[in-house]
Amino acid sequence: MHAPRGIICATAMLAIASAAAAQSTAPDRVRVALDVGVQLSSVAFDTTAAKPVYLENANIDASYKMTHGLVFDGGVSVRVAGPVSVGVMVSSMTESADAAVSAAVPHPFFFKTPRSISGTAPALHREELVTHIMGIYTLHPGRALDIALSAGPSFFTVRQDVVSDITFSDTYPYDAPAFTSAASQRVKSSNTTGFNVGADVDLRLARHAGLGGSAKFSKATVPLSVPNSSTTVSVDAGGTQIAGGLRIYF
Amino acid sequence: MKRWTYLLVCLAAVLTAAGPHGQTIGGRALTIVPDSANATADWGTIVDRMVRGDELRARLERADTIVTGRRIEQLTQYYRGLQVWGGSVARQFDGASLVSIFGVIYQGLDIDVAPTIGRDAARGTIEKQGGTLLLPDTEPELVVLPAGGSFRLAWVGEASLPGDIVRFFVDATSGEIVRRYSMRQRQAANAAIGHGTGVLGDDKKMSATAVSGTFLASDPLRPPVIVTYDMKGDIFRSLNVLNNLTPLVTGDVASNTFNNWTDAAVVDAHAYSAYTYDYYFKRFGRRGLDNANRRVSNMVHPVKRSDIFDAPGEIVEQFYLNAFYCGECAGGIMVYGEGLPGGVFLENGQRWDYVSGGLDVVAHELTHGVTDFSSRLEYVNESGALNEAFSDMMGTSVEFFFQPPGNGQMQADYLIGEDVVVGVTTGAPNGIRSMANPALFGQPDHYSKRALLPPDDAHDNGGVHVNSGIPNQAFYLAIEGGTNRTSGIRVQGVGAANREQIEKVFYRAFTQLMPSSADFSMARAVTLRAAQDLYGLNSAPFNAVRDAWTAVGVN
Repeated sequence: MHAPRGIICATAMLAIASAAAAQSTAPDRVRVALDVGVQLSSVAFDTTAAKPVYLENANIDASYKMTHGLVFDGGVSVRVAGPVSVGVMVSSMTESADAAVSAAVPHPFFFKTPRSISGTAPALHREELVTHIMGIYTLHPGRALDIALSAGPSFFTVRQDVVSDITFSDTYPYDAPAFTSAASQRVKSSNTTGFNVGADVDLRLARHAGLGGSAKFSKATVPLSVPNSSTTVSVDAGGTQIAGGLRIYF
Repeated sequence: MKRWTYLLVCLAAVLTAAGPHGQTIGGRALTIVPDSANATADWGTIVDRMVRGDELRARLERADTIVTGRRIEQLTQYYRGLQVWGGSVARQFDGASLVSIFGVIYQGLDIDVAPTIGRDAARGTIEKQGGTLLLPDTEPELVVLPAGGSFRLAWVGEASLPGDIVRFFVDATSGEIVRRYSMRQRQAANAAIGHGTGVLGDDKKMSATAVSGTFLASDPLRPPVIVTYDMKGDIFRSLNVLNNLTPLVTGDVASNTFNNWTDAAVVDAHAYSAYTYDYYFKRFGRRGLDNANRRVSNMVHPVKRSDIFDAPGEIVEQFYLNAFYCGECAGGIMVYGEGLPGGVFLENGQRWDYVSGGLDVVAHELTHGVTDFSSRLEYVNESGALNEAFSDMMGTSVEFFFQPPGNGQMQADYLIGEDVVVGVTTGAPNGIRSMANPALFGQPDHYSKRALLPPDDAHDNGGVHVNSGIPNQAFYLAIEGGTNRTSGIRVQGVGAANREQIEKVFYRAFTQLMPSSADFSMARAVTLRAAQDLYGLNSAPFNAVRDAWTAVGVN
């Protein structure tokens, strides 16, 4: 839903680039971008937790598939020489999605006789906060039109709701428990380094302002510590984003 | 204490006469085993008439837990307001239609029901035999007692002897004790899940109750209260409890501070009695002993192992080398023997461990409770042997339900008690009975070899632990198939994979369709009726049950 609008927006900006070119003057030293967009890539991962139930561990598995998060970007770049700039951009993506939960719950009366239950953990929150460091090469195909190609390292921090526990109802003879709910905890990854590549098209509408659209791909694999689990799970972060917004030049 | 032995006449001397549609009338005892739909209907009419005339009263009535829509009714015979001992009828209905009827009723009663000997005198006689006082809830009851083709008025009551619980019949005219037999239905002759170690060193979960910083062996997770009492080897207190002279109190309940149970006798009695409840519920939909979640009580450590060398023989027999169910004691309780001290074994080369360590043993005892609340099979002669056999059948079935088949410890087989009675010398067998080969333990495997013993407590109530080998063998053959060693008749069993079918047939027969005075022949008819109800006439289970009874000589 969001992607076509972003592409249309970029196309429109290109179409009016020549009209705005007359307003362009000498290259600016500082460029600020404020965008809103969407992250197109989906991320799937699984977690496993355990909690003691009836003298044994209940193993709780959850499968997550996060798609199409809303992205807010803000960044600044500084021209250092000719078409070359360096920049920094902070990107925040948020989304929520359900997770499928299954668990093997120990029997109250017998060892090694797990009982299976399944259910859904609704609306689990995910937030990616990424700082992109970019080396930028800017082309000027028209006086009002800039195309910037960028690449560099990215530093990812992910906050994710992960399933940590379940509740179930259990009645005699305790052979078929019923899933009641899943409890989750929001965990934060350590800061993890990845990379980014992207392209940005700016259409200068005034001396210090314009509109821009960007497409960016970034990626890292972040570790998440799952509550009630002795292991961490590696989760992909980032992906393809398209966004558009305001440009300010100094 | 000196034990008096009385030779008793058999329950009913049978004189042959013609009954409805060719049924047999034995003297004044009418055996109801109809062989056709018409005969069933005729007997239904007769029984209806007796109900209307207050000659039969419903003892229990409930919905069938196995065949939907069926209803089971068990009736007891009365004569001028007094129970006629052994007169009972079990009827099965589908809606309003009578499906089956089995029983024994007595005709031609004509006796004066005014006793010459009063209740107090009868109580005194029984108390003198038992050496203990009878409590108000165990007052003697006046009944009509069939005896050798005639009837006599008798007071019936139970008394706890040091080594036994005996039912006495006191002639209400002469004051003599005219019959006595043992009532011990014995083998050999806030939720907290804890960890327990069983008799065989295996890990188990203990369903315990947390109370004020400690844990009690009281299961709060199953529908009935299942509680295990630890008598801590106090034989005097054990006897007082079993004699109903002292009530069991919370302090008697086995306890553990950390819910980590290491008293193996407690662990297995508690866990296995609960498993047995589970089996009955899951297999048959039955809710415990009385099908109404009656409390299940276990008693362990009634004596100390170290006291065995000073204990009288009857105490050793009852409280060391035995387990028993006593329906009249402490509201109904299972008592598990202490076994032998380490390194001690019997002359036959068998070592006895804590008896509660045998799943089949525990299930056997609890099944006596089930029988007490269903068919009430009289614990004497063939009905007593059926009572014993049914406990063995269900004990073994519980083993197969929870344990993998095999020949080792904690593996399911057709031996009884093999996990706790172990041969330690060359050739000494494990266990106390074999359903696959009853002769291994001196039991008959064929009706022609049945033991004909006096029906008194000095002779195993007429050989109830001996002759149980015959129906036990029938049950085995109906499942596993094979050839009876005496008759040479081969049976096509339903196979181990279908053992549930035979278990259901025998359960249905023994708990719902069987009258209290059934003999082997009636058991054959009743189990065939049950097989027909469940699987149809000439179905594989029906044929297996029929052929198995034939193979053991019961027709």
